[in-house]
Amino acid sequence: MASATDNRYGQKESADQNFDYMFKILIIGNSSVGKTSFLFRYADDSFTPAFVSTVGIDFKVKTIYRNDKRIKLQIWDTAGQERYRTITTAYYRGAMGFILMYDITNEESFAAVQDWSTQIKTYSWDNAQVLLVGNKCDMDDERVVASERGRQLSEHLGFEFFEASAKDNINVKQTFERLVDIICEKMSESLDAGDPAVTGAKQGPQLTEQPAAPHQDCAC
Amino acid sequence: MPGLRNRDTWAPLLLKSSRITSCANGCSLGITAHLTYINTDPKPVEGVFVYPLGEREVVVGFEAVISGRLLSVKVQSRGNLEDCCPNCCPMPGIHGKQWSCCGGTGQGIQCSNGHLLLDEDLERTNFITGTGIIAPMEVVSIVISTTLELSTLENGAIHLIYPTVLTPIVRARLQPAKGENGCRSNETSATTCFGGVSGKQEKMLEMNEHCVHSVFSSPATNLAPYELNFQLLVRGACLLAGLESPTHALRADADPNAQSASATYITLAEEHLYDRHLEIILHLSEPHSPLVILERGRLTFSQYEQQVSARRDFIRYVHKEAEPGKKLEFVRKRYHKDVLNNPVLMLNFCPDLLSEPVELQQANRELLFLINCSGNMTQHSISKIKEGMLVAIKSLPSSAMVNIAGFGSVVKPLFTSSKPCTDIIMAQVLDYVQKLHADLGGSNLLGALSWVYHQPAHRSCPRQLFILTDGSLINVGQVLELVRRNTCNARCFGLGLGSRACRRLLHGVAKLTGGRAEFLCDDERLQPKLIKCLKKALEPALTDVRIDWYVPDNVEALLSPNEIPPLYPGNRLIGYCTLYDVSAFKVKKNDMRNQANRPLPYGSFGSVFELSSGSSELLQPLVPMAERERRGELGHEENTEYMLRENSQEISSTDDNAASDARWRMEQTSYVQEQYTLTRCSLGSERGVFPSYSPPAECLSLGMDAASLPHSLERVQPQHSHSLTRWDTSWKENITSSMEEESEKAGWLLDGEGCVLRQKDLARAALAGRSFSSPQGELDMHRLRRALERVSFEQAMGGRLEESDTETHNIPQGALSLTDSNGILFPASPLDWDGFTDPESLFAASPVAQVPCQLVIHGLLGSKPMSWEVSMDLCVLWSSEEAPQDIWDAVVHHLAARSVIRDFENMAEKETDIEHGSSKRYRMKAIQTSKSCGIISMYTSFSTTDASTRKMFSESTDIRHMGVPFGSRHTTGTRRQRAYSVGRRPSIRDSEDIDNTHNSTDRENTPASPHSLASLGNNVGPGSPSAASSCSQRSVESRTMESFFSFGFNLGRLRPSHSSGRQTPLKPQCLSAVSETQTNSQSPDYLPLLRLQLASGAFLLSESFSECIHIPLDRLKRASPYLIHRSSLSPPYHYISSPSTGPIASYRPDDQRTTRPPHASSGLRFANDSLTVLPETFSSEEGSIELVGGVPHSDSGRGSETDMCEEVEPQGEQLAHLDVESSSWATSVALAWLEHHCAGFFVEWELVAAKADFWLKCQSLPEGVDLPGLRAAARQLFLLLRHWDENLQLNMLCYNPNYM
Repeated sequence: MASATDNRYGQKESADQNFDYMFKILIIGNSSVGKTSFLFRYADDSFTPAFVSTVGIDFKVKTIYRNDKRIKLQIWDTAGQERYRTITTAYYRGAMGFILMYDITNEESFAAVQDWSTQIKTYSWDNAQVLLVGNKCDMDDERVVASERGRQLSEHLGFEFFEASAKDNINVKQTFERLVDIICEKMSESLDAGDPAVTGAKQGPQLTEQPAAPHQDCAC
Repeated sequence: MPGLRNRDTWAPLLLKSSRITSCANGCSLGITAHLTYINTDPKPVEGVFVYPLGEREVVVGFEAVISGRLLSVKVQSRGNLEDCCPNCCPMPGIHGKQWSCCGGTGQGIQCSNGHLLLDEDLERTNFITGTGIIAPMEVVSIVISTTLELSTLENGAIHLIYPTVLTPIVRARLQPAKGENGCRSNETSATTCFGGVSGKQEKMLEMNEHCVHSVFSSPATNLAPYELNFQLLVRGACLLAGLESPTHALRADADPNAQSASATYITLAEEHLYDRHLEIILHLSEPHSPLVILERGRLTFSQYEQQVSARRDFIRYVHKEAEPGKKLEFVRKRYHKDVLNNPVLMLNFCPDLLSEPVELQQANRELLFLINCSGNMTQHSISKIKEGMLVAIKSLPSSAMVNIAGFGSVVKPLFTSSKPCTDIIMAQVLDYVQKLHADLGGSNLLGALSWVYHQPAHRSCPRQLFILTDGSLINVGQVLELVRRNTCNARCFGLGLGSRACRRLLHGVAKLTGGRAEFLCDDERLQPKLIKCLKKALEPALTDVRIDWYVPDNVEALLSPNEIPPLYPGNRLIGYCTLYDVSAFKVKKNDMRNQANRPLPYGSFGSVFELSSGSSELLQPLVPMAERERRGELGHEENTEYMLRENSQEISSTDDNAASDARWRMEQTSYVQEQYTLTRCSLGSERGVFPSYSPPAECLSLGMDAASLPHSLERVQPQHSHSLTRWDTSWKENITSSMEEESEKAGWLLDGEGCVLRQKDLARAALAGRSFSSPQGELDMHRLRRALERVSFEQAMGGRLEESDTETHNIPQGALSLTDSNGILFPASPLDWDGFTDPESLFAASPVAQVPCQLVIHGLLGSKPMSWEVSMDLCVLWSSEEAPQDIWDAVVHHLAARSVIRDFENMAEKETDIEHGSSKRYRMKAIQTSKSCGIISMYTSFSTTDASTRKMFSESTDIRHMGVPFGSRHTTGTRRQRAYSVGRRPSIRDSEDIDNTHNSTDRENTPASPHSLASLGNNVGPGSPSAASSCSQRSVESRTMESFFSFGFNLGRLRPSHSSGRQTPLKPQCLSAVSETQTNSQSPDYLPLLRLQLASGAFLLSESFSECIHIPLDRLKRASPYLIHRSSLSPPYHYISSPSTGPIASYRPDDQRTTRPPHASSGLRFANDSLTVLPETFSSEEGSIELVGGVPHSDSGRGSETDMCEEVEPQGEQLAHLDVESSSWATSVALAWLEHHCAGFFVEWELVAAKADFWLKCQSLPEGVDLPGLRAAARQLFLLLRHWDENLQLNMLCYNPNYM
């Protein structure tokens, strides 16, 4: 489940593009739950309260160090609006992790989590890891989805759970790092199990060519 | 058929693997496919590779490796092929027959000598090349690269359909799959699991296989599964909103090194099942915005300059001609050859035409019906047509133009040109239809079509051509080729009656022009499919489309295409603009500095060509050849170019240094609109449409006004000093003199052209005036410029709308704006000027790096002018930075070259019948472009060469144009071979020109270059290139738009509802009428009613009306919501009164200026008869019509009032005529009756009902009755009638078929 790339994309060798693994991660959830803000907070450490509905699918890149490895995250931000739901499924494929987001002040977005979870199961591969995130936890006075309900749902679905706030930068970094960790765990499990989907040529040359990074801790 | 075949048996060779790499960039798609075939035959076979090309697809590379031989193809002039094999085709007629579409045999594809015979169309739409002998078990590797323009869907999504050759269907594998997934087989096999429809489908398929051409068009199949490797790279000017595929599960990824999703890689997520071909739909995040894609040329501008300067012929030319301007002229003559070397901008635009409701009844269309009346037509078909045409004609909106022509060996049109749909015209058309006979000899559709294409086009009235035929033709290829050349002229709809109708022909014409083709079984009614086509013909359209490109100084552009067809929902506009930096070729003397910096407005090929094409067909001969040639040759010069150049020279020489310096710098920094060289490409709009629109000052009127063109040059010359003076004076704030100059000039420019020019000047003056004031100290050049443009644009639009078409009206408008700007805005300018003359602020405000470029698209949606604009930054073209190369770096160039070639071809073919010289010239240019760009044209062909032996590969399959004798040829192939090997997409082509010394094949799959995107970004803030082109879209709405009817006819209301649709005893088949089962020869009973409908959509409350709907007039009146009807009845009213009772009041036409006679007044019998009588009378004066109508409108004592109506007539739109009670009641009853009795035929009378409903909505109903009330009353009438019926003698009311 490492970098699901192969030679077809070609490689451009340059210093800032060195990495050991690349994870494709998708942020999904209903419209206006804060997916784009969450991503911008994490990748650029910025926040704008203005709401601009995402239409075009784009991603941001962030490289982190985890367990001696440089891990490049390619985090895709998707459109949450219903009408884009079917046409974005092609992006699910090949994703190693999902951040399924709802808005704690919006019951509807929480109710849709089940659908999104089905969507993930249908279109992504089985090993994909999912984190359930209740965003906008800074707006506690408008909360309609209790923390406990989120936790219960996540247990029911077998996901890990965070409450976060892109606005106040609560749990944003932790969410991504936790996701990376569980992907790594899953990956080593699969490697041990000799999962053919993970081992083999799919890992790409980056895996072996790059020397391990000296950092032990997350350096970003 | 497609794929690698055994030439003798046409059996397919086995495909082992197919590797597809492709790149979609906007609406362009490049495909490179590696196909590996194996000869499983125990004997050696001669192979032939057939690759059907899409309509907008070109082969840009082909290579095959067979046992060490490397074959490749090369474009060469067709002339070389047209020799040999004289006895092969002794009589062209025979081959004509062989190719007659439906009825020939598969053998017809080869002549007796074994040569392939293709007609014009097949030749264009297929890439066929022989591969020579393939030994048993030999592997053949074929690499084919094509480039194509993609089509869009109505929602703006881009639709990719991959050629079937690349993903053939494996039938053997399909059989087991059928059990588990039965419906799949529907699309792939002839047998279907749905018993009901299969019979029909099978029959159709069977028929289809009779066509020889179907061997080319049938989807590719393979005997065994093969290896499929697929990858699509998606780029574009905007991000994707998503993607989907109706056929396969997809996966989207990005390059691991990419920083954004500007390039997406798409692969297949699941295994290919070999049961279908591949389609992908790309959803853009901005589906309906115009998007511009920049693709760099092979050379940078400086490299290009060096290359041209180093050419021997250039040096010779420059030496010979001492004149400095000659350099430029030389380069201009090379533009079409150097498309690949220079950057190309591609515009993609899929306007959203469906978002706003456009009333069907307001659709401006020219509807032309071509009916096959040749002796081959069966009587059955003719009678079907008679019936169907009645409904179709009655369905036409009143704003439409109509003409009808029967064709056989001759064309017999009803009118010399199309006429508006008035009652008279409609009656004439119907009469014509009723008199149709299959008596016009052989069917010469080609002649009929060329008659159509020579008909003058009506502005903003896109032509919709309906072809009704039941037979086949011998020259389908020629017809298709003619239609292809005239795609902008008419959208074609094909209706094939019966099983003999040529599918290839009708499908072909419909596909080429974006229409629709429908085929009927022998016992199928024509109406449903005809009306379906008619509905499509009336869908909203963006007409008079024009693209204005604003390119920077010193850059000239070659625009293509030169004709832009109307855009219908889902259509996209693709325009190409090849940029040439001519600064190096211009005069560079110091005192001429301004000239170099002055904009040179010039028309493109587009605006030049348009004059003789499309709509201005009739005007064409008026343009002297000399003039046209000159323009054709220079291609880019328009009259005012001289004026402006002169102008600027004068400025620089007369001004003192300081002033001119400041001015010069201002100009240089793209301050005023004049900085932008304007090139334009416009569809031939007639004069008076756009002239008043003068966006940036130099928008020229060339192309608007073909007739006056020949004079324009002479006329313009004397103006130089004047416009110069105006410039000077305006800068010196000496407005009055400028005004005087203007008026003086207007004095001696008397014709329309002069007025137009004058308006330009006025507009420019106005703009110059405004430009000083609007920024108010703000120095952001770009924003300023944008603001200015908007101002000027809106101003111009406003003027244009208010003053409609009369040019004289525009003059005050222009003058007004001049006064306005000078008088009010100008005083503010000195302040700004101070700022501008300061060098620091000047340059700080506008970094030199920005090279803005802009384009504006104009069009008319209905009668509403629309415009969209896009801005982009071209600075990347001048940066020294090397652009990353990849294999897809010429896709847009290939398409641009193809488009340029098509333009030349069309010109050449159009000119043929007028003058040979210019035709030859265009032909020559097409060949030159074709050879230099490696894109095939109709005058060139591919020849196969064996690269390993450097010899022309000669013993391969010869493909011949039909009727052209040929044989083996051994031309010495001494040309340089291409350097790339199999596996490379050729990024350059071997060319005849020796100047192509470039070899830039770059195999490396580098990731998408961010440059191509960044270059389009034109951020307002300097120095921050954005990844997407900043584009602003706005639709300019007219202030003076008169009320735009937005009533939508609620079709849902009319859908058959079971509650109301009680089956009547009178016509049992009404409700159950599933059209196909209806055996014909018996008209459905709504036809008589339809005959009574007026052109406006209304019905009259008359005796004949009551007969048609089988409701006595007195009951209609009794049930009327209008008091006046009820009170007019004396209690014992006899409905069987004499026919002379007539209508109770005559109908007065509402919104047509032309008066229509109240003709639909006699009884049913009369209505029938009148059709044969009326035309003669209607063509005469109205007075006589009154007599023919013959019905005294004196019943119920309303005669005098009716007379009064006639006097009130000038206020037609107010619908104040007193008859509105009767006609509105009759119309609503008619609607209710259709709904009630003929719900099963809804699809047939849908448009008629819509028209009637629209008419109703436009009425102001008297007596406080409102429309819902009226409708309710009409429905109630039928409830009442149930009980009435019981007491009545039924047969008195019955519709009697004998009356028909």
